[in-house]
Amino acid sequence: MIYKILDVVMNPELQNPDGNELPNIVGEEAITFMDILMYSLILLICAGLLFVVVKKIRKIKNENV
Amino acid sequence: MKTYKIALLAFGHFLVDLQGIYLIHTQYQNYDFINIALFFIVYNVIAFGFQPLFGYIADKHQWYFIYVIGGLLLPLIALQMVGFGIIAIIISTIGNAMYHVGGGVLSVDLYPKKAAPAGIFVAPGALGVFLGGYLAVQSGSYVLQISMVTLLIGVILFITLKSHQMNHYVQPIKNNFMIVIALIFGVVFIRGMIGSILIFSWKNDELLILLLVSSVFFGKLFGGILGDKFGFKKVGIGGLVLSLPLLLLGYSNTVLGLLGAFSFNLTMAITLFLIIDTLGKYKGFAFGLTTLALLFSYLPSAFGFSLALGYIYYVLMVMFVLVGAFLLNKSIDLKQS
Repeated sequence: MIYKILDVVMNPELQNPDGNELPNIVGEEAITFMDILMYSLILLICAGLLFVVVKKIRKIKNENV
Repeated sequence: MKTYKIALLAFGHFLVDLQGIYLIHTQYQNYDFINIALFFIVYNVIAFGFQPLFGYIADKHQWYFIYVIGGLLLPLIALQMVGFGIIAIIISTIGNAMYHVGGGVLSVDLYPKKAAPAGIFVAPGALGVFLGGYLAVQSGSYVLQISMVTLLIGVILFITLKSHQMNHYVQPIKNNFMIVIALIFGVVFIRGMIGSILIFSWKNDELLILLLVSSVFFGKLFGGILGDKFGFKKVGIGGLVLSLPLLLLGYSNTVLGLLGAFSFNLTMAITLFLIIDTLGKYKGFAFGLTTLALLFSYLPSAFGFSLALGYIYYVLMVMFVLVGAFLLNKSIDLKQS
């Protein structure tokens, strides 16, 4: 799905006539196992990053109390 | 000399972003869209998501100068490795994250009580992204030209900054700092969300896209300068609120859309300065928090979320701008309390 979006974003000739960058193909395509794997991985990395960042902020707080 | 240093660092930022985007786009010669999509995700996750961690390490060891030089050289090395695909992309994005943190902190440190340096440093990135994408789809390779310019700027930066003494001016961290950074994180996230759902019907021509990128560039550039002169509330909140009708009417009207993009981006330097000024000596970490917020705002569109022009689009735009303005107002109040 992501690559389809990118495909359209990067190729203006594929855009909708009304100028919307992301045409209706999104949502109409079946989601594959690879899509789910990719999305899960992104979410996992982002959650991990958020966790580490919150830990660092707490550390900074403790240093300054 | 200070202005010269900021200009140099800003130009370096332009080159780092140009190289990264150029590198990804040239991968079309070897890979299909699935791989390119993965490259974009890797680029965004490392370049945006890992900046707080890179920043934290830089703050701990005062590695800003090393980050600037290393951050400029890594994308240059990666550019010579176009055929290595994802490996080249990862090397380039690590350099990207390093340069943003190092260059950003060094720029802000030159005028510690001003928001202008943050805007001047960040603004050229938009031009770099545009030019990188543009050059990559032209016939012929621009690797040599880009490499020569980068090498030259790298040498000049090295000579200029090797004996640079930082001010090390830091505001003491206040007890309410966690609320302030949460509010600013929210503003940046909302700004990113608006940017990802924004629709311009006229954005289908290279010249118009260049004009749009220029509006973004000038908005970011002047946000800090105007904020220092007229106050963060007037420029930051005023710019955000003013951008709403301009962006909505700018759907079909190019001039209004360009003005809206300018006005919308005025807040960038202000939020960046506010968060850096809140976290004491952890300026690099603070800088990275804003890009992490941008990564989170990128997720919905990466997951396929998009809007067509209509009722929901208008409601969401109004809601985002109002919430963003409220959060920004609250964070400025808390900062000044």
